[in-house]
Amino acid sequence: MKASLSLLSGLLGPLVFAGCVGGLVVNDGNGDSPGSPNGTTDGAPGPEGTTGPGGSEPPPIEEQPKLACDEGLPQASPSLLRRLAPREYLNSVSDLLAMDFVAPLDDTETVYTTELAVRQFDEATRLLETQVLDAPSVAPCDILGPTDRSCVESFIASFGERAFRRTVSEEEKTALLSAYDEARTELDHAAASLALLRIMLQSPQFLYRVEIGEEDPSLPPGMRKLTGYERATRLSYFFLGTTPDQELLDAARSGELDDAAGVRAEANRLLTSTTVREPFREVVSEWLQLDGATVLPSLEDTPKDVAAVGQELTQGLRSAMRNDVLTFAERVTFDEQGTFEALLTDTHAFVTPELADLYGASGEGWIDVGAERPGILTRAAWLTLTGSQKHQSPIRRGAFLIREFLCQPLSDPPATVDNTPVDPSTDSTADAVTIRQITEERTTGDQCQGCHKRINGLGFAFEHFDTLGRWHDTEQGAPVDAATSITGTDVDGPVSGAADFMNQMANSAVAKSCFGERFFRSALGRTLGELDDCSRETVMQKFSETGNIQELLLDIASSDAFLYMNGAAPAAQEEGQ
Amino acid sequence: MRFGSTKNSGRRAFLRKAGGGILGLPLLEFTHGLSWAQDAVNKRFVTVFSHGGTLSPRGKEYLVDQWNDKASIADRWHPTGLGANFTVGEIQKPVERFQKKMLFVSGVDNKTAIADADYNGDHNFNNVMCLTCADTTGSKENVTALGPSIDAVIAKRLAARQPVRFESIHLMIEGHQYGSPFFRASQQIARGESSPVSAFDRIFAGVTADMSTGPDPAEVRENALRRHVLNGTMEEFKTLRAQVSAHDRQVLDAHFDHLTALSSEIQTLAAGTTAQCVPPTGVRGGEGNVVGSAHAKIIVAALRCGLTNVANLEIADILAPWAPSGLQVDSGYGIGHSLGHLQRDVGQGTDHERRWIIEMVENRQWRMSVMGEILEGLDDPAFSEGGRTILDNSIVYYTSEFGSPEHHSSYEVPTLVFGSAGGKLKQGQHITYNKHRTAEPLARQHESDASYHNLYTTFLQALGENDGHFGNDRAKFKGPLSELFA
Repeated sequence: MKASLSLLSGLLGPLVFAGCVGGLVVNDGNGDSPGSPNGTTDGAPGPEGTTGPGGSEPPPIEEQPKLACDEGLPQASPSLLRRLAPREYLNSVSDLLAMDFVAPLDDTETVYTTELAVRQFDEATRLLETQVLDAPSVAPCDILGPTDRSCVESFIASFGERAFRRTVSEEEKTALLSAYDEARTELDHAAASLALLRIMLQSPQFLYRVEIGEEDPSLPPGMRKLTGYERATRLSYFFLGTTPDQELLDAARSGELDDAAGVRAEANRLLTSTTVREPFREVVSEWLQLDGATVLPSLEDTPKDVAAVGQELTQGLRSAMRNDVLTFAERVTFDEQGTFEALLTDTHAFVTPELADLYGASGEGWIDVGAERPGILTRAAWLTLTGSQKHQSPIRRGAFLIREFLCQPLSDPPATVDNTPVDPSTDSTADAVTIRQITEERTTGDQCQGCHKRINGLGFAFEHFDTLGRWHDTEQGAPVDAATSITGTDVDGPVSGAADFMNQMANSAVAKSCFGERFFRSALGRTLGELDDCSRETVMQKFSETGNIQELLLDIASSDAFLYMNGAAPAAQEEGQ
Repeated sequence: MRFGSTKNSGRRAFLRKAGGGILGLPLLEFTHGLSWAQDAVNKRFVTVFSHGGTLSPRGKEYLVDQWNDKASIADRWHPTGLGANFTVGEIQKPVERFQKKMLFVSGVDNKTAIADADYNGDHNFNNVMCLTCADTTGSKENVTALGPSIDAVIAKRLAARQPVRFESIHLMIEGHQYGSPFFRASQQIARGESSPVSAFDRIFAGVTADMSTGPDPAEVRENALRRHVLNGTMEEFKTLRAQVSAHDRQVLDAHFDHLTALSSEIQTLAAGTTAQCVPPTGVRGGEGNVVGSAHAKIIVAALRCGLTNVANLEIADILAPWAPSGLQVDSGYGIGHSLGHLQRDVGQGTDHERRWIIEMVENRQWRMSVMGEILEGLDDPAFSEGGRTILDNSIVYYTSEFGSPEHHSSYEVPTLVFGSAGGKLKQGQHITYNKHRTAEPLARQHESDASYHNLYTTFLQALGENDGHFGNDRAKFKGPLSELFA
């Protein structure tokens, strides 16, 4: 099948979800000023300590008009200044200092760095002793030896390039040397050198991924070409989750990253690194919400009723579930077929004996769990996360599939609905004894069916898997029914159960695009905008045809959206200085 | 509850130079460095923010009517009686002993959320609106306020007249929650420290009850090093600032502001000074109940020591298995959020309702008990100032993003105040702004002109400020809630 992805994303959502997106409860009129939601404030923007709004939104970055893709000109949506994520920060410090560096860090995802995070950055560097300067990779000379100003200068240049991910300018070298000299008025040479290290590790040049780019008159208005160093930084954090290694920096310095082919060549090299697997696992973990989401606790925290499910969900079993699903995705991508189809149809699992038992099998390590359990969504981790304390939840599973597997919008349930978990022990009726039957009974009626026709339809496919992901054929003495219909996708039609569902979805361009865009967002650190459309469509079109995940990552890395930037002209130029 | 054995030295913080000699400063110099207010008594402000609403049926009237056949009518929040003759609600039992210093305000609405939030009340929107009364930008989990929260404004004002090491401290008991209600400035979320040990190390650095020995030379060296590091780092920010877009410059400026505050704190430490005070003992991490008590100790000691004027304790919508009856019901998602949501689903008179109410009440009572530890510490007469306890001279404020959580109600939000800001606010009173309840205390109808806007304007004026309004223009009537003034 060769579907047009832009057509799919443009048509399927609105058509399918009419009535299922947006608020269902209107303003009751009790508000004093019902108009202009999120509108203006009455006070003049003021500094902190005033009672007015205390500030205003940062100036918006104007997006240039979109050009037709066939014009062949690079386009990309604007990016904001991006701070290193906690994991990226820890990896980077560890690599820069050749040590395992651990420190508590605020993980609040916000444009502005919190006060807590700033304190923690300061406190993290306080964990460093002068001995860290002793590593040859940190300082190219004996910086802990007798005072040697040339060694300090050499340290600034070499460590600075690694920490700032670019050549340190003469002005910056002078400033850093001044900071060293200032520290020497109170501290000995070693302590002042340590101060230099700590300054560089708290510098915005390290903590933020600063992208200035460079002028290129051949580009459309607002577009700038990322420098080789900036491309190296994007590559390294996307593929490895850490600061660029020496080879990348060398490639940047020598101009090898000035064209897409050079970038792709380096990306190919990074794909062979074992480190590439960790960021990949993190994206998969975020996709499956293993660390929790808006309303779901993490896999480690999700509660289960031991009496109801008949076994304790131990931390060991939870850990095995997490490792299984992530190792499975890693193996499929990097060691086996490497395709999206395999991610949804491969029947191997990486188990402990306890997890094997849960799968109705035996063994340890890689085992084949059988044709009824193909792919990543039939594994215990996701099935457990989306189950209630006692039973499976087709509603949660269906809602997850719409939002996270198909990337389609779905409103929150209105505040008036009964969202307690379905429990046959209290909710059974004469006509409804199974989870599915009770769910259907509870969500009957036009108002509910606006959303639940799709939610339930997708979720019911997994009815044979209970709240721990165990296979069951009967509930309350009644047979489990997992036959259902897929709607709202490009592979609509009846399916007999989860295995059939996974096999159908393996061919879905919508599902592939949703999966691929997750990595695109990870690469860019932002949602995709209109000016990314050409890059997105090119990359996703190819991915929908090949399904090759490694090729997907390479195509993202060599796309215009990855190689160019938009809208962040230096402030001095903006002000005509 | 007493912290430490040398309680009388608690708020008396000394400055000592590195050599160990005590400077000839007045006893209260560290805490009371300037003469600031007309009544010359230190004012403090504490916010205890309890995520997830409370146990109250008084929500949006039309919803109550709609669900009248099913909604639980359990009300464990509101007191009975008005004025000075009231009996606290069941949830306030753990702080009942402070009733004479309690100002229970009912009928206050979050008018911003009513006007602007999804469903007139949405977790994300209500969180960012309830302490800021501000307009917002963004949607769902990305929504942020376009103004500072009341604690940040008060912290800035108080710090200007009552110099302190920390403009404010912010601790939290972690769990599930939708966003933060605390904003340092427009779009700048403030996050609380969840580790009591980290908070202790940070807040009580250089603080000691024992002045018999000189400061640790290693600490003196480290403080000097930190000062140079921060100075050098700030120069880096200044350099980069000129190279980025206007938008990114704002991000860097916000970061720089935090560094400036940090630098200011370190000036004291790096100058080789040590504060004499009584740090709390036995601070450790653990489950939420352990963390809650530890945080309470830290807040009390920090306020007593004059290390800060403003403290926030943020309690996530966390379940409380340590409550006497433990966990009673399957709350679906296993998080406190759905515990509150269950109210409308439990059915009246059922065993499910009975067990749900037990769990919900005990959960909220535990939260209240944590605040009780703070109240007790601040009300210790051994730490009186100007003839009043620290609590008397302060405002301790308890609230949440919702009233009735299952309705996501922005109406009649929990509003509990302790202390009088030095005699400015009434105490031992229940005052309602629900027009229907003044005539019929148990009326379920709700109509009010009072908003958070007015309440926070009241706080500002009680603390000696002259603001006529706080927040955006959603309040029907601007100005304070004058009935709350003594």
